[in-house]
Amino acid sequence: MAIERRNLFKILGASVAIPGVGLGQPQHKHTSTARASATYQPRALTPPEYRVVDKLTDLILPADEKSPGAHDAGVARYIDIVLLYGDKTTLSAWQNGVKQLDAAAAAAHGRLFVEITLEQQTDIMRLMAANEANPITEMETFFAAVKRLAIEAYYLSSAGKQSLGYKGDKAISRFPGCTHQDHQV
Amino acid sequence: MQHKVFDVCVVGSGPGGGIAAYVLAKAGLKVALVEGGGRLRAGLDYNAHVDAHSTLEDRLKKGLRNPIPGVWSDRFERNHFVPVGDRPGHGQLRALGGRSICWAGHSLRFGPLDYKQWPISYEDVAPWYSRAERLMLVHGYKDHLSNLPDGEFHRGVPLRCGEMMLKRGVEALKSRGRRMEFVAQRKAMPTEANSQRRAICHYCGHCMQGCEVDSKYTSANTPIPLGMKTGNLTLFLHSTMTRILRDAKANRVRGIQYHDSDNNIRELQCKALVLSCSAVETARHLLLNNLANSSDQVGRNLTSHFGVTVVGLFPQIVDRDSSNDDGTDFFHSLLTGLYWDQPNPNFQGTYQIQCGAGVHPTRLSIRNVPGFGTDLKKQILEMNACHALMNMQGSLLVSSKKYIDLDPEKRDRFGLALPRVHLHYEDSDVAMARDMVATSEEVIKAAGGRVWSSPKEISPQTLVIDLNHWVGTCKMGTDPTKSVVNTSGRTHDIRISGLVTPPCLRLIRKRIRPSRTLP
Repeated sequence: MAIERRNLFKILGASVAIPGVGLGQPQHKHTSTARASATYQPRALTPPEYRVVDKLTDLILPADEKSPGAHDAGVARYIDIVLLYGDKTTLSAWQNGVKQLDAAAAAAHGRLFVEITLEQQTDIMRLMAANEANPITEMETFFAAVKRLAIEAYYLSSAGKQSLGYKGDKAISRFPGCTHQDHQV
Repeated sequence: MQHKVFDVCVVGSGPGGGIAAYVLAKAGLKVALVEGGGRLRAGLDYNAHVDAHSTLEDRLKKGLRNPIPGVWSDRFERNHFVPVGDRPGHGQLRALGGRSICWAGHSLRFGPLDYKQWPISYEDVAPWYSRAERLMLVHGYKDHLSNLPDGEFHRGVPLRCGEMMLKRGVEALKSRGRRMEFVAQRKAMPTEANSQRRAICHYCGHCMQGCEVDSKYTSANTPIPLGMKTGNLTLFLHSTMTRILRDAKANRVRGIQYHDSDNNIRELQCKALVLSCSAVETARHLLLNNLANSSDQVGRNLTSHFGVTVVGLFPQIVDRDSSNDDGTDFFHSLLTGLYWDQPNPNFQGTYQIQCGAGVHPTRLSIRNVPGFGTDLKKQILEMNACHALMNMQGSLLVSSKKYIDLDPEKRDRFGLALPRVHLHYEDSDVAMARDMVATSEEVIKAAGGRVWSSPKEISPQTLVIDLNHWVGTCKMGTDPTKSVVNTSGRTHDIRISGLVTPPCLRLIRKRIRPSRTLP
């Protein structure tokens, strides 16, 4: 079921009061394909919140034919540690973002964000990212914050370096510079 | 209490103080080198070669937010002064070697034009540049440029793909009559075996976070150890000068008062004093001690680098083979030669543009790419692979609106007035930055690229000051009523003793056209 942007925000406005799909429901089952991020136990976010962030970052930076995605790169773990040592306002903004995301998924599809299909998740993400250059709403701001930290974490991981085809961080005796004949001046 | 009388006391062990201490000790003088910080051990106290995910928590526990450890990110002090006006910044590193530990190593000679308004000429200084390059082990190419003289270089470090594109753009504009040059940077890292046995650069790209194998020249790894070998150099670490002691009758400096690491107040006697604790701190101490300021020029003639950044993308290299782009930190190249002999009517002085390119995960020049998913990853890869970044280093207009003075209320932990750094950009500064943006965009387009990011409007709010390149504040000149130091870097006011100041000691540093600081 596709959702219109205006409907999403209508839903988000009423998100907190949606019954039956609140956070902290350990009995909900995963239907998404993401594996748990190793054995890390989140300390800033609750386990359900952590699963949402893990899924969200993996949607932002997924695996492809060249490299693993954010999930396998441990991006959610990195973020949880940053939030653990950050200020309470930031953590609470993230928790609120997760809550709204889950509420939006519940309102549109009757399930939590991590339980809806990839297509449905992507649909919500697309709406969150639509105004990326100039985020205004809480969800848009949340997306920008998640993406910023996800990119930092991902490209500092070996998966991120792999995705860039990075060949550095090693001692070499002579720097070759550009060796492409067609680039020379 | 120290009873020994040193021939010279050097305050500050950074780029200026370290070499001063060595040269004086080598000449047979008994030298005390006073440094507010302690020793940092390369590879132990700083080392950027880490897995950021593994070290993240330990760093956050210590209050360090930057995921990559290093001198620049971990130890830089930024709150030791009071900013006034357009967001001035100033960095300070309390450690043996000072900010030479976290400099990028750029080692460019000033040229004949730069000295035009100085009371000394390029020819006077050229032999000293050669001596400095031999000591510092500077690499570079001989480019045969009129106002960027060649030196005694180790093998140069070549350009990366993106920088090669910028060179292409510059050559295209030159063929149409524009006057500009594009050269590889010259930096103080050996690229060849050397008698100093300094490690040859291994091109890891973390120079400014501190070279963990001590390949990059620092005061701490070259002149200070050499000075210690003479037996004439004594270090006073964790010692902060709080007062300059003066023999009023003889009109000379007789020593300093300092606080040691246990906060004991001590005195150090000397026959001459060398102040080399940055343009900001040197001026501050002269003002605090009401010294050498009969001309009222101490703290004035303040200038630094400032600028903006433009990024270009080059579709012709988007599919290039991936390569190791680390090199000698990010900025490998330099666009220069602008307005050397034909001044721009819209602004005074000139600027250069330091340029860098390549794929660097820890830096990731281009990360603000819209969207998400596999397309985002693909674009981040392609854009970083084919980008070149151009960062302006403009010469800030010297005027009465930029200066150092003492804050009337704020004090440091010793009860001394903090320095205020006054920065107010002016029309000339804004016009220079606009010209830089136009020139950079022209170069990118001439190379067949497209501009990815560029400031839409230039105003004092969009300009960024360089934290580390402040110079001036102790003007050199032959007229004691209009300058602080003479052509030997000694103060006009105090006989016998010498006060050697940063502008006089830092003859090798980033080009800033210091002629603007002179009458």
